[in-house]
Amino acid sequence: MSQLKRIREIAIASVLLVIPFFVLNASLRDPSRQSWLDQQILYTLSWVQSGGTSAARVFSDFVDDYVYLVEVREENERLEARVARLEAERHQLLDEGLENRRLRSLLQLRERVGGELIAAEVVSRDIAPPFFRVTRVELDRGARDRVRAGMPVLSGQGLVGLVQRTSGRSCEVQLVVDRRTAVDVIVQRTGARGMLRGTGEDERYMARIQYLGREDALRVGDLVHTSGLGQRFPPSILVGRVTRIVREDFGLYQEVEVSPAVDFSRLEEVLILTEGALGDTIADVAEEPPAREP
Amino acid sequence: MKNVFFVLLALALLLVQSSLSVILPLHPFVPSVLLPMVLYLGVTPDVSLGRGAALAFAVGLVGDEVTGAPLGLGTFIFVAAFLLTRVAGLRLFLRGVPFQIVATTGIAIIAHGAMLALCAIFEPPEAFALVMPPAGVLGAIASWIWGEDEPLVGRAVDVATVLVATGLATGLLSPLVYAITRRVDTFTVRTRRSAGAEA
Repeated sequence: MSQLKRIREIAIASVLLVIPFFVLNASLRDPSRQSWLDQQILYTLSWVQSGGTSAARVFSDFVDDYVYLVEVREENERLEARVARLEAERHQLLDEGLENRRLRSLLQLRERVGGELIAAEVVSRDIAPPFFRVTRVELDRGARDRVRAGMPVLSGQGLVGLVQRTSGRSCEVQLVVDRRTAVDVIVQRTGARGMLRGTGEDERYMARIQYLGREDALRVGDLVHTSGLGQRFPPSILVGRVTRIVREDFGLYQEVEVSPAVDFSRLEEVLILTEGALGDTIADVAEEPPAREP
Repeated sequence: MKNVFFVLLALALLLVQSSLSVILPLHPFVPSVLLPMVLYLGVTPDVSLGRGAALAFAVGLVGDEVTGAPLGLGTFIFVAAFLLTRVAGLRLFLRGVPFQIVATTGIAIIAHGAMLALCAIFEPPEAFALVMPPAGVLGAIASWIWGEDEPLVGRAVDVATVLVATGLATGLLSPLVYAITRRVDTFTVRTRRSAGAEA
């Protein structure tokens, strides 16, 4: 039995050795000189080749897909990092753009106001809960920079307030909405004059114009500027916009609420007027002649 | 099942080699990943003569199919290599990695020489002009030594360079292929035994 098995295995091995020899002979021979046997061998093998090619293609596609996915993942990670970097750059550019605009408006203000102005940056803010309203700001300029109490503080948006207290390298600013602040103002459209005082409210930035006669026909939206009278603030600096008018049936004056032009919570750079340009006339403040309603 | 795994492993090795060759071109040091598999069959006593020859046949057929070699060339050489190692009674795995490398290099040189010889028998020799940088340089040196009138000398040097490069590459890669093949072989045996035990 063992001998038979051995003979059978030798026979199988011999056949498996001979077959490829014939196959090689058939596949390499010039087709015009192929015998019937060569053609039959090649025909049979074409099925094997077809199956093998399909299997190889499936496997190759699988490997290619895997490699492709790995590359896609790596590319995805690279792109994510790039997007993050570009996003950071975009934010930086936006910040710089905003800063540029603020500085431009400050520059324009400096040219318009005249006098001696020094630039300062807000270094801290006092916040009043629960509405996170800014009640006071601190600037990086102080007595060493010749800053003194009472000097007006301006921004590109308008009047910020006045210097309340100074130390060596910093000063505190009392905002225009502080209840202790009083500014002589003029309503640009009508030429009506009054005294603006901060309300000091916790929930909103607001000021009121006092001593404004009932006959002054103000409208909501009218712009309010400094008049320059009193030598405390330069003229023509925007203070705010009229948001509410209350006229009672009695009394000499009307009550006018003004929303400040400056957004104190976003204040970054300001100018401190240290010398000169404190006008004492309102002649050039009102661009249009005062229009009073009958 | 074990036989199917073996053939699939051959296919996988070939495809991995072809994928890696795009990234890392080693020409002419191109190893034959299938030859060590066939030698493994030859030196493993558990594999019977008939089964080993059949597997060598299948692996050779896969190789011819995937590599685009003339059909039957690798098949014949692999069956012959299997039979030779079986007859020679080599025991590669008992003598360590250096012996594996040396023995496989030698067998690979002989096998690839036989392939070239078979091709030369069945096809005109012009189809196997071997143009490659290292062989070209050696061929040029040979032509310079023996003169331009002896082109066959340059060609012989070309052929010898390719054979040695292929043999060396195959030999150096063989321990890895042996390890993978043995791992697959033992895995399938273990799986079969555990399945039998459960039954």
